[in-house]
Parts: sequence; structure tokens; C-alpha cells
Amino acid sequence: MNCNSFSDLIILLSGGINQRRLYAEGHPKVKGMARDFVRQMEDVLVHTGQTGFFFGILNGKFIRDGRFLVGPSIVGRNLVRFAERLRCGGFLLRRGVTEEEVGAFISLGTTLKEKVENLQAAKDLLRSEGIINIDPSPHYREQGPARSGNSTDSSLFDPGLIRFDFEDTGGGADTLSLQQELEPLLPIFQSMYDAIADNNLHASRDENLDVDRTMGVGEELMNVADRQTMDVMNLMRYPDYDSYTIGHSVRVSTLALTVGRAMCWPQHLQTELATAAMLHDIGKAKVPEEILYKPGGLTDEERKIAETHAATGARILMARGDVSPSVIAGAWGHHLRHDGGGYPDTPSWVSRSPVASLLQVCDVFEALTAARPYKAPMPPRRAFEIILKDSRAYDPACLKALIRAVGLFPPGSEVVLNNGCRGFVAAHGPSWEFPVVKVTTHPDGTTLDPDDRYLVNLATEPDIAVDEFRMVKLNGVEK
Amino acid sequence: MSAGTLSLNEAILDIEGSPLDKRYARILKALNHLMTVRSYYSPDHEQYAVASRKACAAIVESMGDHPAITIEIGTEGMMLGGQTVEAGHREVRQLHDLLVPLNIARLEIDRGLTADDLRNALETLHDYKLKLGASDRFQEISIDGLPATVRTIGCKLFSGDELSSVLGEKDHSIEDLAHQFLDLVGEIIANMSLARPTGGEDPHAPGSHHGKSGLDGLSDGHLPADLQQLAEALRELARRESDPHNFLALIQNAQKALEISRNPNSVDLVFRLLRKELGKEAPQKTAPPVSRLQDPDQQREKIDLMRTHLAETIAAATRAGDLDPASTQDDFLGICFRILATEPSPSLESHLIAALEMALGSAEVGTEDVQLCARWLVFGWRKKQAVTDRKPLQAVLRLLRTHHLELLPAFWMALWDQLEENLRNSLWPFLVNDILLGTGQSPDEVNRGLLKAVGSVGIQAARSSRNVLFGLPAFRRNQASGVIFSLPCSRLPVLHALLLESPLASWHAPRLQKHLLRTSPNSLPGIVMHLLGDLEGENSALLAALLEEEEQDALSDQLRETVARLLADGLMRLPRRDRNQAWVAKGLEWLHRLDAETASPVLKHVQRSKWLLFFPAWPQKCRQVAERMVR
Repeated sequence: MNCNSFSDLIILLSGGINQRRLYAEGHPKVKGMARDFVRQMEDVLVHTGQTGFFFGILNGKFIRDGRFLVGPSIVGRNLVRFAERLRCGGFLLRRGVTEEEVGAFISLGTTLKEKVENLQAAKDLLRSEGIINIDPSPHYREQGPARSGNSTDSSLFDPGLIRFDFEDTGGGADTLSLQQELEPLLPIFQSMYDAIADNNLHASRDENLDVDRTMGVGEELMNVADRQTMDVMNLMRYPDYDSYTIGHSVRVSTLALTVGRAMCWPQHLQTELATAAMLHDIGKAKVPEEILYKPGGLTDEERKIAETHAATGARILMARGDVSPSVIAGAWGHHLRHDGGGYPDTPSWVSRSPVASLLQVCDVFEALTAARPYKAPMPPRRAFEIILKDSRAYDPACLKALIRAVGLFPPGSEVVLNNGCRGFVAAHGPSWEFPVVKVTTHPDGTTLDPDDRYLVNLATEPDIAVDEFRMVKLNGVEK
Repeated sequence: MSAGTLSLNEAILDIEGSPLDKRYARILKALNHLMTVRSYYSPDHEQYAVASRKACAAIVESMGDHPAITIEIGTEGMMLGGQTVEAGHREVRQLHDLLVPLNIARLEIDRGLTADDLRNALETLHDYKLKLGASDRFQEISIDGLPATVRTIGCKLFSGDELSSVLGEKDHSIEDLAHQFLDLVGEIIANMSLARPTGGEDPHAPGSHHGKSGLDGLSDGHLPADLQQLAEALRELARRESDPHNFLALIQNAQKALEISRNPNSVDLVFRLLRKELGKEAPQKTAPPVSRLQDPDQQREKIDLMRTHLAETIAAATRAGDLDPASTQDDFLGICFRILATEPSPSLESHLIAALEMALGSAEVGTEDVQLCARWLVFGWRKKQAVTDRKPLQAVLRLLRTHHLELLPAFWMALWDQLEENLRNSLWPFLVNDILLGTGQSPDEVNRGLLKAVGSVGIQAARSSRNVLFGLPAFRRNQASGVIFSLPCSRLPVLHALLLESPLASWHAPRLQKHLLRTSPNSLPGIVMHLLGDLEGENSALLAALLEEEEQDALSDQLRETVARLLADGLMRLPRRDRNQAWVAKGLEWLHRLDAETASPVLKHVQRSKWLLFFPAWPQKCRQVAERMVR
């Protein structure tokens, strides 16, 4: 595991709590997670010359250095809830924290169900668990003198001043408009991540899934998502396979819903699509992690086991008795090929559900373009090239809709135009290959004043084209 | 200082569009960042301390050789080194919002600044701002307690003694309130012009009218156009009926706006609100001019081969047409069958059956759907080369019988056509069961097709499934569909034989008898039936055996002998009046065929027997058959 940012550490810590929910305290996996965390934290602190690792929590989001952390905020809700139960506004982990302390912290994150009385009680609790080098910190509200006047949170700070941890591009992307788009989406993505993580946990324990909650989250996403919705999950790094597996389903849901909406599917079908996407890999909860996360190639036997996740997922969903056929079909058939191959083994005369067809193409696209552990993300253009080389594997209508909906250039991405100007993709254009670009920089490198930045619709500018393209990503490196 | 957090590379532009000197930009950013961090943590928090150290280092480093820097606060914004940054700029706004309400016109920072000094200064200024926010009247503020390295120079905006607070004076008439508001505005404008530390015209400055209060004290000629309009509008308001509370609220808002910021835009905002209240349109803000780069002289013409290729490939790969949501049901059905074929747990199986029930219970189910069900069942059985689990089949049959009886034959035919012999044999009892239970108002042709399917199974296979067959629902009641008599008995001998042995025998036997005598009177079983007269007791077993063995086209010696004897006895004892029946001659033929030796005396008797010593006792036809057989 190669972790090089504080964001990754938060994700790892949160992942540790997830693991602890699955396994007992002394389980090698839990111990291994604690050990990895301590080692990575030490690396990061040595690299940055700091003596401690602090992160705050504000309105359900992680903050560090005055910035909201998108990725950890999405995947780390269990850590947020832990902080709520401890009535604290963040944690300080000092250099020298031991594996045992991290293990105890993770365990406490899983076992603590009730809120403690106050911050001091939280500190006492941690001490009593032998956790010396991890301190809970107060909420921002409790800091400083009592404030009169407005009593709402918004009066204590200006939300417009809090920035997200997008990479600064030297006058490239307009992070303020991206922030404005991201703000309402973040809670939904948090809910999606949570719902998927919880369902995976239930499935691994042969417990009942919470499909109603998943459907509710899918409806929420449907209400806010549109073609211009930024691919939020594209901003995420996944430092470990656990967070990737869950994040993958979140992103497939967003993609699928975007495409389904572009195909003018009725609303009820869109809701089912979102639910199906969130649950399509539920069967992986029953595949051994050694196979699921094996870095190298799988043997034939291992591949067979891995491929059972489709049928297993359908069985898990069917066992509930009230899951819609679309959702079950999505879990079963998202690895079936349009030309009859794939798995589970299926005769060629089967007509596949449109949900399964759409999930298949979104699943592949996501896998290609995600920033997986040890794998850099691929630009959409490259992903489309790969997909189109095997176009018979996919339903043509779904494939076409995906390309049109996603476009070659996702909003937020940096572009360099052939006239030397630089900017970022402000919105999809009328055509999938010609976006609307907001020009931010002269060819000579001078940054335009925000009021002077202008939009160029490449669909109407035949002489202007995209020369270079760089996707928006998080700054995961702490300097 | 972390570049990633402070955007060091991002230039700050002044109000004229020129980049601010990098040193000053760095200072402003450092202060802004520190104030942001301050909003999260308590003053003694470690993070705040870390941030203050970084900010202090950045500020001191940026000063270079200068002993101090000066930041001046004006109406237009913050001024450093002769450049003005707009007050609303995100790197400046926090500091501007902090200093302006405190009447601070200038902030000076010495190079000896320490992190502690910086923190203390910010805390002191914030504390004063809090006090101001809590105040309900205008007051003069002087800042005490700042560290030595940080100094402020203030200016008066308001004179607390000269103005009375509007708040709480609800007894005043609207006109009074309006006048007070105008007085307030006039005073503010007058003082704003005094407060400017550097040159430059204040567009709102009343010029030579310093010190005079109230708009009434100003000649309209010196009043900005929008204030002229406002004055007139307020006079109009005062003449009209209006809710004084609304007006009071607007004035309060205007006060607050002026209090927090001396930005004329805030005043403009309030004026717009007032205009709106008065029914006048708010002034339209013109969009800032958008400059556009000139196209480069030389544009590179780069053909994006990949993009073109992509477009062509997509166009070739795609075709029109929407996805059919109805295919979900088909897909789902298939999944149910696939999982059912894996011998699921009882609870999962019950859900699957329930799902099938829901699917097949729908009114929209048609022939194609049941054919698809048949296809899936066959797919599962073929994989295992056996019907390992009949539950899915039984579930489908039950559902069709309950909800779509008319589709049962189609289901069976679809199933039967796809099955190999060994699989057919396994399903034969269920087919028979459904036929006996009835298939609704199916056309004869359909029934005949089903019966042909029944008749296609060999006797051994049929016999081996008799236990399964007799356990099925059709055999729990003493009735059956008469469709089994749609074909001659000779086409379904095994079925009839089994039925004669089954719990349905008492119902079936008389009907079979009639059927045989009607349709196959000259067949051996028919002949035997003529002789037996009924199928009571052992007669039934005899017929059953006869039907079965005849199907095999080779009677056993035992049965042959038994039947021959039966025929011989029966024919010999046949009353004269019955000898003319059509079957009698055929019976003689059968006798001879079965056992010539046993037949010989009978045949001779038929040939020679006389009635009244003269007349032949047997009909001519019988005598001819006898003669032929004997020859």
C-alpha cells in the first residue's frame, strides 16, 4: 500500500473501522490495518516534518489546513459519526502512536454506541482504552469567546471562504464554481457510500440488506444529478481496495443515472437503475479478499470464484423477497456481453434487462477511468477507445448514450486549446465531443481576471479544438 | 508555506487589472489564510499556532528590507504599495470586513512581528468587532491592547452623540423615520469623504458640504442621481400609507449594512430594496465588459485523428432504437429459473417461487412468456442431463393452471419439442396429470397434439413412472378429463393400461370400454371387451395387460394362451342371436392368430354346426372366416 497524503490516512482510518465491523479485535486484518496506518502515518510525518497529524470535522466533512477534503468526507462517515459520539470536532494523532493505540481507537469506533457526556469524558475514555497519542479536539463552536448576534453556524464562518482540496492549477480550473456544484452533492455521495458499505457488511454476515435505504439514496441522487453534474467521484483517490470497491459502486451509480436520464428513461426506472448500480457488486462481499484484491492475475480457479459474485449477488438480493426485478437483473447480468459471452454462463437467446446492459458499460467505463490503488486514472477518451475496440460486447444504444452523456471532456477538466489558451471544461456542449470551455489564461500564460474569463462553445468554433486535456484531481501530496 | 493551500502562484489583480506586487499578494494571502484557520480553532489550539507561525514567516519574509508595511483601508478596498485591491476580493474580504467596522483606516505591521503578536492582534481586533456587533448604538471606537508591532489608525464614520438611534423609536411617524434615515445617509456620505486617507474622488462625496447633515441640507444639484431619486421616493413613501414596521425594518437593514461595510454598494443594495418597496424597479447592474482574446495570427491546424476516428466508429457501432424495459421481466424470469436449478435453500426457493408466481400471475402473460419458461427449464435440465428438481416445473404448472389454463398446452408443447427422450420420460407423468386434469377449452387439434406426446413415450418408461404418476393430483379425485379419448385407444394403449390399474380405474374403465367398442371394435382388446362385457375385477387387469403387450406388438405366451382360451370359450358359448355381430368374425380370426390349435375345434364347430339339423348355426361370414382359417 502506497499512501502519500493525509487524505489517504483519514480514508485508511475510516477503513479500519469498517474492517473492525467485520472482524474481531485480534483478527490479523484489523491488526494489519492498524500496522499499515501507523507505518504510513510515520512516512507522511517524516516527509512533511510534522509531529502530529490533525484533522478537523465540520458539518460532516473533514477539514485540514482550512480545506474540506472531498474524498475522505465521502468515505469516512463512520469516522465522522465516531467523532459525534465523542462530541469532538477532530482528532490529533501524535507521532509515536502505536499499532495497539490505533487498534484500540478503531475498536472503540466500532463499539461505542452512545454519546459521551462531553469532550473531557471523551478524552478520559480514550485514556482508559490505553490511547495516549490520539486526542479528540473541541468543536469549532466551543472555541473563543461567546459570540452574540446571529446564533446560526453560518455566522461563525463564511462558507465561501472554505475551499475544497482541488489541485490548484495555476489559474486553470475555477475552483469556486466547482465548489458550488460540489456542496449539495457531497452529502448525497456520503449517504451513497455509507449505504453501500453497510450493505456489504450485512451481506458478508448473511444479514438482511437495507434496500429501502439504498433506494431512498438513489432517489436523492436522481433529484440532483443532471448532465452537468460533476463527476465527483472522479476526484477521489482510493488508497486501499476496500474504499475503491465501495467507491466504484457509487461512481457507477452516478454514471448510470446520468446516462439513464440522457436516454429519457422514466423516473421509476431511473430510481431502480440507481439502486441496481449501488447493489450490483453486492456479491463481492462473499468473495474472499485474497482473490478479490489480488494484485496480479488470477488463476482459472480463482477467476471462477471471482466470477461467482454476479450470481451470488442476485441470490442475496432475491433472498430478501422484495427487491425489484431490475435490481436483481443488474446484479446478475452486469458482466454479460451483448454478443452472448461473459458470465454467468447464459444462452444467446436471452434478452438482457436494459438495466443490466447499462450497468455493464458503466461498470467497464468506471473501472478504466477510476484512480484505483496502484493505477492512475485513464481519460475518458482513452477509455472509449478501449471500449470501442470490443464494441460488440456492449449494447449499442447504451454505449452510444454513455459516450454522449459523459462526453470526451468531463466538466471541471483542464484543457489547452489549439490557439494556446488554457481553461477548463465548464459544461457539456450540445455534442459529446465539443464541450463549452471557460478560458482562463492567455496564450502567453497571463491569467485572466475572473470577470474577464469567457466561454467558448467549441461546437460553434470550428477553428478551435482541444489540444491537451487533464482531468480535475485532488492534490494528494502534502508539501 | 504550503503552496497547495495558499495558491501562491495565483496572482491578485488590483482594481485596474494589474497584478499586485507579489510581496504584498503574499502578505494578504497569509493574513487571509490565518483568519480562515482562526475561524475553526480556539486561540490556543495547536493548529492555529502552526498557521500563525507560517503566516508570520511569510509576512516578515515578504517585507524584505522594509521596516514595516502599511495596509490602508478605503471605500474601494485595501491599498498596498499604491495598488488597490477590491474589497470583495476573496483574499481581502475577511480582513476588510474585520477592519472597516472598527473605523480603521490604516494597519501598520513592523518587521519584528512575531507569531504571538499576530495572534494577539487578530484576537484584539475580533474582540472589538464583537463588542461593536453587540452594541445597539453607534459609538466611537478606539483600539487598545494591540501589540507593539501592529498599529491601527482609525477614522470616524459616525458620531454617536449627534445621531440618535432609530431602533426602538417606533412611535415616530413614517415621515419622521424617513427624515431620520435621510439624515443618517447624509451624515455617512459626508464623513466618508473625510475618512479617505488618499486622494481620489469619492463619487458620493458631497463636495463642499462637509459637516452638514441631512439630505435636506444638501442641494439636489450636488446629490448623486440615485440619491436624488431615493429622496423623492422616500418623500412619496412618507405621503402614502405603508406599514411602518416594514419601513423600519428596511432602515434597520440599511443601518446594519452601513455599519458593517462602508462599501457604497451596500448602500446601493439597501436603496434598491427601498425602491422595490416603493414599487420602483431596482436598477439593473450592467454586466462587466467581457474582453476577448484576439485569435492568434497563426492557428495551428491540427487534425484530431483519434477524435475523427472515434466519431466514425461510434457512428458505425450504434444504431437507433430504444431499449425495451419489458425485457427486464424476461431476464428476471430466467434468473429465477437459473437460481432454482441450483437447489437453493428453502427460504430462497420460496422467494423464487413467489417471484415466478408474480410474473406468471400477471394478466399480460402470453404464449411467448410460457414458451420462454419452457426454454429456461430445458436449459437447466440439459446442463445436468436430467430433471434433477421438479419443483420449478411443478410451480410453473400450478401457476398456469391457476391463472392461465389456456396457456398450459402451449407450455407443454414448447417444453416437449425441446426435450430429448430421457428428459421426456421424466416429465411424462406430469403431462398425463395435466391432461387428466383438463386443459380448458383447448381446440381438438391441440389436445391431439398433447396426446400424441403422451403416446410417444415407451411402455417401459411409462411403467417406471407409475408411482410418480399415481401420486399426482389427477389421481386424487375420481374424475378426469375425457380428452384422453380424443384418440383411438391403439394410440394410447399404455396410458389406458395404467389408468386401469390406477386409483382412477373405477371411473376410467367403463369409459374406456365404451371408447374401445366405439373406436376399435375389431382390435383384439375390443374383441375381448365384447366378450367380457365389463371391466370388473380381473377383467380390468386382463385388458390392461392386453393393451400394454399389444403395444409391444408381441403378446407373451401366457397372455396369448389366456386370451385364446377366453376367445375360444366365449365364442363357443356365444348365443346364436349374437353371432351376427360384426366383431364375431374378427374374433375368429384373432383366435386363429393367437393360437391355431385352440382355434381349430372352434373353427370346425363354426363350419359344421347346424341349427334345427339343417340350417347353419353360424352366419356365413363366420363360416367363411373359419373355412379360410382351417384351410
